[in-house]
Amino acid sequence: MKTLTWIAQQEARLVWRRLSTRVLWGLFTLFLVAAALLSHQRQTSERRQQRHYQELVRREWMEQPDRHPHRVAHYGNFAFKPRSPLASFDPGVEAQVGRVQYLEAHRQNAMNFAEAGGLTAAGRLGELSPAFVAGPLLALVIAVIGHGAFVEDRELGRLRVLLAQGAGRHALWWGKAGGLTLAITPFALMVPVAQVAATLLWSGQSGLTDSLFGSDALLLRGCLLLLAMLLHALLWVLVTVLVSSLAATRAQSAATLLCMWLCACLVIPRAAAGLASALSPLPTRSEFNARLASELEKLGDSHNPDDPAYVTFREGLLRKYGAVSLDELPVNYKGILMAKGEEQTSQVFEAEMSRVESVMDRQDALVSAVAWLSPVLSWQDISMRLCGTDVIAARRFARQAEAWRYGFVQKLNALQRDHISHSQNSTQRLDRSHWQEFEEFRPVAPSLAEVLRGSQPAWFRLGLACVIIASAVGLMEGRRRTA
Amino acid sequence: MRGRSTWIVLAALFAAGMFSLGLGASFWRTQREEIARLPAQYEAQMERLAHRYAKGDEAGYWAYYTASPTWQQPHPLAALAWGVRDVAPLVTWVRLLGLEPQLYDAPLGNPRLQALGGFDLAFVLGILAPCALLLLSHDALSRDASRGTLPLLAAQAGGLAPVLAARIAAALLLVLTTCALLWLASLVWSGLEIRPALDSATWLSSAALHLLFWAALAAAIASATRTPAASLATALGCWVFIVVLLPALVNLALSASFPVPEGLELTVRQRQAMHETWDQPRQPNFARFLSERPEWPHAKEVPEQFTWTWYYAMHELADRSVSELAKSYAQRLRERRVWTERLSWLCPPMLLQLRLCAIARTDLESHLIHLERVRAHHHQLKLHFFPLIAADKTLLPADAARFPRFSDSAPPSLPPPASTPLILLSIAALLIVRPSRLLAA
Repeated sequence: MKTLTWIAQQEARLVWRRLSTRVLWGLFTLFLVAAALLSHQRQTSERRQQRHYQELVRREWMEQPDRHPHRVAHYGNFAFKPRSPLASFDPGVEAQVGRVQYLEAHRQNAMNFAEAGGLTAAGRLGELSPAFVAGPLLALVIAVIGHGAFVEDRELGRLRVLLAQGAGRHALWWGKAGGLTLAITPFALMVPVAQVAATLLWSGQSGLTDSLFGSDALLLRGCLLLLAMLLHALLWVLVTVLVSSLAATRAQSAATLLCMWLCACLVIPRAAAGLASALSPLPTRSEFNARLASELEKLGDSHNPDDPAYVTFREGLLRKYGAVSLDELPVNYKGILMAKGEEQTSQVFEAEMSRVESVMDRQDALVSAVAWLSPVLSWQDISMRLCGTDVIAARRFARQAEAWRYGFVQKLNALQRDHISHSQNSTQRLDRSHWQEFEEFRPVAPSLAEVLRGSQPAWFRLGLACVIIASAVGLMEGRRRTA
Repeated sequence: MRGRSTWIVLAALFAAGMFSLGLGASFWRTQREEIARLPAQYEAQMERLAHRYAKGDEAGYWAYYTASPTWQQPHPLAALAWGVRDVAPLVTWVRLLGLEPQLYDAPLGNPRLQALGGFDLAFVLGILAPCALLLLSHDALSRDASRGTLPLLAAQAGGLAPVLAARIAAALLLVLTTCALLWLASLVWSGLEIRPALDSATWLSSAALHLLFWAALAAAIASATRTPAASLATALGCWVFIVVLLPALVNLALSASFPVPEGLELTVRQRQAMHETWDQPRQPNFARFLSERPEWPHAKEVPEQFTWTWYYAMHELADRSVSELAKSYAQRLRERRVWTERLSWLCPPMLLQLRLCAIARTDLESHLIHLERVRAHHHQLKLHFFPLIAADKTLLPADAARFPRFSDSAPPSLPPPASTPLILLSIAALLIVRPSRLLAA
């Protein structure tokens, strides 16, 4: 044990004595600070903008004049996707999912104005974020600093001396790994430092308070992010030392590690995405809408009181109230019909959408399967979920927005049913005081417990990979000793 | 690097390229099929309407329920450079209603996959090929320097410059040949479609020019490092910096400094304008509508109850109220594009990506052009329907055949960003090549 710590200390000291390490640290910090500041500034301004329009839309809703309830249902409302306070660390899919959804009666509109839609082709080369620095970039730093861990000693003939001095192979291996871990600590530490600094700097100015997850959860999420980052880094430390102990020359070790990094960070994730969309293709929007339209056609048109699809419904209602004509009903038939139509159209939409979502689930499953080959994908998975910027959170938001839409549209249909007379349906207006009864949309992000449950496989993948390498090393070095 | 490892690198590059071609082919097929199915989808819709309005109905109803597809034929090269195609739709369906809310829908896609990025041939040629080139050529001199055979080599060849040039050229040739093979494979794959021959030539030569820059950089690195380990570290360090970090930083800086709030503003304002008009006295607003529509004088007066004329006039007024915003939205995006282009002069992979996607018509600009065509088609719909609606015409299913259809549009032609910066950067890299320094010490 003593030799182990001694080797670790020596290794770390050796690494930091090099000028290149210090230069690398400077560059790393520079990129990290740039990423943290720019990303924070951007997210804060996005959130401020969003807040502004959200308030404007709310005000406009409340200040509506007397209107027919169905007009209000078409006036509709907007669901703004709330920005997670941690989106500045990992924007995840935030740029891809769009920022606002227009909600109205009868139809489920798509999300609009995804930031990615406004990017040039060069934007597809990727965007810097603190999560990128903490994951892939830190992994690169580890490979660059540590690729010589063993092979350098071997090339310079030190390895034999060390072994002759009685340092066991095991102690040497773990000492190197420990040393490399120590050596990259100053890099890893900068990540939380930069994040906290940027948060303090910008949150003081923005005056935005966060309701998405409480402040305790925010701290806990931060700690878990740190933990995941360290686990991911540890895996790269083990891989690096392993490659270095097997390589014949430093150049070989460096080339192997960099190719592994290139595959893990650039090739495999993109290949997985391409493969997933080629193997389980999503319907195009045109196809989706065409299917939706033909399904809806079977239901009938709820705007048209004489639509044959609703005749039996109308007869049943007349019988129930013992009325002869619609004007005699104590309630407005058109409101009831709208409610019925809304119920049916949203069921059809739900069914179609869940078909699409099941395809997306298959795609995501393929990406998760490929994540066994690329730890970076696992790191992304954990970090996006913890930051609330993953697809699950996005889908949750979409579902909540739809539920809220359905709620306010049906409430308006009920107002039409109870307060608007059937005979004066086209001219009567409802008093504006009713608009005050409608609540604001308050989406809830997945809770920390759900996030942890969802990211279990990713944690498992990273942990298991570490264990496998560690035991492989144990076996290998054990065999060498006996040989 | 020599022998077996050279072939491994080239084979890996080739395999990655073939993989990208496979994906590209399926991507392109999907797009073509989507467009090919549009007429059938439109007919199915019109059949439903013909069934519903078999005895004829007001023109306003027909217009309300008729959505007509607009599209952009993908350029064959789009299979090789996907650009923004996964987030910017090729197809937009429009109805006679307010146009603005219909323009900015995202295509149906899995955001997770979109965020991971595409694996197209442009990625292989622009990102992976330089890496392969550096792996093959970084130690052009350092392998001899580390063995001590450099002076001998220099003496035999009459200086180091010819040795360096020959070795770098050999590596470049190998990588270029691999790229050319991939290119041929893509032609075979797409049924030897070389019709936009000029485009194809520009496309491939851009990629070759880009590799020339990397060859110059490799020469600079090779002449500045003494051991294979050092030359490899420098080469891959440069590669990671230029290919991964620099574009990532530039992109973040661009999105941070060019926010596009117009999108939200436009959506919110359009709706408010539309519904406010509904509550206001009709005549003045209608006069406002007619002021820019002198072609429909026979609808001077609007009654207070619902009429289709008034309904569509309101939609147009709402569009007009945000027309400035819509212009400045596109303007903002174009500004961002201009700055991306400017900054890409310092970053060859970005410039290449922009060039390849511009030639393949998969860049933002071609999407903005698509949106302009959608606008034009929407205007055609107005020209057709407004007079019918104003005259209170009843339309029969047979009339639907005369509804305006979007005419098949060729991909827009766009001048791609100039490649001069690539040449200048290559020359700059060549200027710092001083192989003789290696002999001096």
